[in-house]
Amino acid sequence: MSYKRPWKLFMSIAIVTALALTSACASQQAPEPAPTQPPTEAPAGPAKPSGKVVIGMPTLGSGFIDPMQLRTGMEAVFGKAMFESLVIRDDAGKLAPQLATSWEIGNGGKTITFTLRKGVKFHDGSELAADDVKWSVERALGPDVTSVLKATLQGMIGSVEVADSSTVRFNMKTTDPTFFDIFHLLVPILPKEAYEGKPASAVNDQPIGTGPWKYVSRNGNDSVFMTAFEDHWAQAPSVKDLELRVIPDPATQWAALRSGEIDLAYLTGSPLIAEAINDPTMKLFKGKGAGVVTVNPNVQFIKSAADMTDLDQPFLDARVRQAMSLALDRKQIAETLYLGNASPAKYTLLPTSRGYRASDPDPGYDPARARQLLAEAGYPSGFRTELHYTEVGLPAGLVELMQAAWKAIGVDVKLVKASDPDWIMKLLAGKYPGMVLNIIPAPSMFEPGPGQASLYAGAINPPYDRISAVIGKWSNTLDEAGMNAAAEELRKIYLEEMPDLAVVYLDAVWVGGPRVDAWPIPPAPSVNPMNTHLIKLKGQ
Amino acid sequence: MQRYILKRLGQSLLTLLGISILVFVLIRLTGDPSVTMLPADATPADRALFRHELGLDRPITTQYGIFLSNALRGNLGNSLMGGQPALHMVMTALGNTLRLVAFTLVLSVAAGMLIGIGSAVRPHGFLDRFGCYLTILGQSAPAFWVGIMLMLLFSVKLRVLPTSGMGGLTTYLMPAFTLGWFSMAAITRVAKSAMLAVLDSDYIKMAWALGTPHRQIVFKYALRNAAIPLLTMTGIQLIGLIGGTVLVESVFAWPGLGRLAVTSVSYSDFTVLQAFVLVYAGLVAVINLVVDVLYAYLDPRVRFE
Repeated sequence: MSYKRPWKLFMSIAIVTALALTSACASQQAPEPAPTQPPTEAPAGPAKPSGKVVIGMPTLGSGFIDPMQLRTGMEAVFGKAMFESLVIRDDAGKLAPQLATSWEIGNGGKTITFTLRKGVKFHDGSELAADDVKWSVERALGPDVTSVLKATLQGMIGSVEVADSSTVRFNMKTTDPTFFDIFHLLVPILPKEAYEGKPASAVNDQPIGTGPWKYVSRNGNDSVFMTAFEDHWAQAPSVKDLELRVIPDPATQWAALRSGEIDLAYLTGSPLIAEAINDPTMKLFKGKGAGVVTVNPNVQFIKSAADMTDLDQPFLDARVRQAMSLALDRKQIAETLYLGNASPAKYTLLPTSRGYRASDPDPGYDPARARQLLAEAGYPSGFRTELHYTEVGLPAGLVELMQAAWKAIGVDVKLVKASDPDWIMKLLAGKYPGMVLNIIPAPSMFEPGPGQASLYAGAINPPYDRISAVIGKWSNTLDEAGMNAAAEELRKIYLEEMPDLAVVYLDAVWVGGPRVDAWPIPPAPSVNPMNTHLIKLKGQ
Repeated sequence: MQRYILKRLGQSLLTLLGISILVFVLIRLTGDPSVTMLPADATPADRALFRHELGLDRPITTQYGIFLSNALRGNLGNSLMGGQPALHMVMTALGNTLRLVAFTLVLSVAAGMLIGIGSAVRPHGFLDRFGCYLTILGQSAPAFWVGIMLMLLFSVKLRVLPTSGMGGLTTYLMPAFTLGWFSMAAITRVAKSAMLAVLDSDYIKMAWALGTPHRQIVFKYALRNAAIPLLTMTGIQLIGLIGGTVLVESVFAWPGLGRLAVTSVSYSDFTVLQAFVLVYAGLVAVINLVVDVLYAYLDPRVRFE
């Protein structure tokens, strides 16, 4: 198994789905001071930051520090440490204030007025003002910076007006609930005075933000050095210096961790996790609910009846989908293949998603009932189909275990490994007959926007056409009640129809060495800031 | 002679031009960067704008024309990923790779010759037996395994060497040993057999009979003749070492050319890939040119063919 690509693709998909699927906003008026980089415990008073932490990273992604130029998702780890935006997702997945203390949605969603936090300083000592916000947004929409979702942003934001020194009004073109997430991921608030008139690359070369970490230097794409920003408006890091060091090979990361050269290593998906679990000097830090592994019937993506094959036909019947689900022992998969770093999934809604209910029943494991459902659906002797997958991000043995489980209920599944570079695009176009094994990162099902709607747009098969209609409504409202109603409707479809087979909820796993005491990784760590400023060393 | 050099230079430039066209077209057949770099559910408008801003929506001939005109001025474009000049990235990585390769080569040749000569001079002695085990292991142990074992011993257990990265002399030792063990084994075998053959020749026996000092016979009379096959083997190993850095660079997080190429492929970073292939091809062309010129210098018949 390759260990570089899993991270890359996983993060890519994470950003991917998160950008389009997560969304914003719930409250029309956010509570006043609630800090955004929420401290998990009370600030430790005036204690000076001390010590150094080195985090081993499989890659720095594209190497762009400017969040506008984010390409793979990995850049968020350091970009979000140095830069901040107006709002952010908190650890519960709710929209929370960051550089804006509150916002008001007016005129049916056509205007959003942000009130800025007072006393926020940039790393160069200048103070945040409304002009900085206006300039940063106009930079994001303008021609100087290439950005992955610029057209989407241009389609959302009409103009930005400065009402006074601490109030900014956005005139919106759409009422798209993904606006807040796309904005906080891609649009850092920059000091206008420092960058105006300079080339766009200045933000990469000499980053100045308001985040808890201040840029020091970088060594190409091999390491980035940061230091604690002691004037941070919420909470300065406890650790003084932070280094992100690229070590692509997980075995080398593990050796570096054991030798004390690095303090934290990213080993998600690596069999070395087992060694870390058994090593009493190591500590696991988990980002719960980082994604969900699903088996998607291809009928979900088929847009024309002519594309339907014999391998797809059985999945049009909900009883077949339920039978395929009941054949899987999710608990065994979570415990043996994921070594406890995953948990059985109820549906593709994650625990941080709107619409998720802890009281909903688990899909269960009941091969006898599965065979009965198949017989009721007209397949007493089972049927033949295919499972398409890439090895990226999957533990060894997962597909074989599922194949054996389905064989036990009479379904003959041929495993087909896909190696297409544009695998995701082909998957969405319905080019893999039968089923597709997929990893959907958090919080992809949170509040779907047009991106998510496009996944189902043109769906011809029930219940996917119903899902498409629900998402269509959901992705065009900023109204809290409307979003809740849509989420509830979607949850019901998931429970009644089992449109896809959610297998396990994944954890993102980092392993800490003996010096590290605490690191509260947020849920959905691939899209939220990694909370590196909350890392504590022993004795702090 | 001057005419010959000009002719070969022209041929090399034509080769480079051909390679640049081939690379330009082939890389674009491998996929669209907007697929690998943009979120899967980015809208078609996002993709179109992204491609437009990178100039990827123009006809391929126009793109090539712009590329060629910039390349002639020494500008191979900026990386689609990090935004840095592609040529600078490739040259920096090449320098790092060549440093590691040079260090490795010196170690391999020195150790290989020492053990090979020692084995030949005292057959069945300690060095001979040690060399035998060393060559068998060196030629059979996979590099990634050797690298990890070295790390476990010297970094994790003894904590005397850093696991990875490029820095001071200590950072070169494990990557160089991992990379060079195979070469060292090959050089040891050749050194031993070449020395054995030479030491068995009549002029060496005569030197022994005349009471010439041992050291003088081995290093002055025998080694000179044994050095010819050794030089050939060293040249072959040099090419192997450059090719072999890809894996070692990945294991030891060495910021070299192999790692840069692999990363560029996985992200469809066209500009860096083009720069990589052109620089590599340019290097080969220059080496070939130098060799051809040297041949012509040494053998006048070549000039007139």
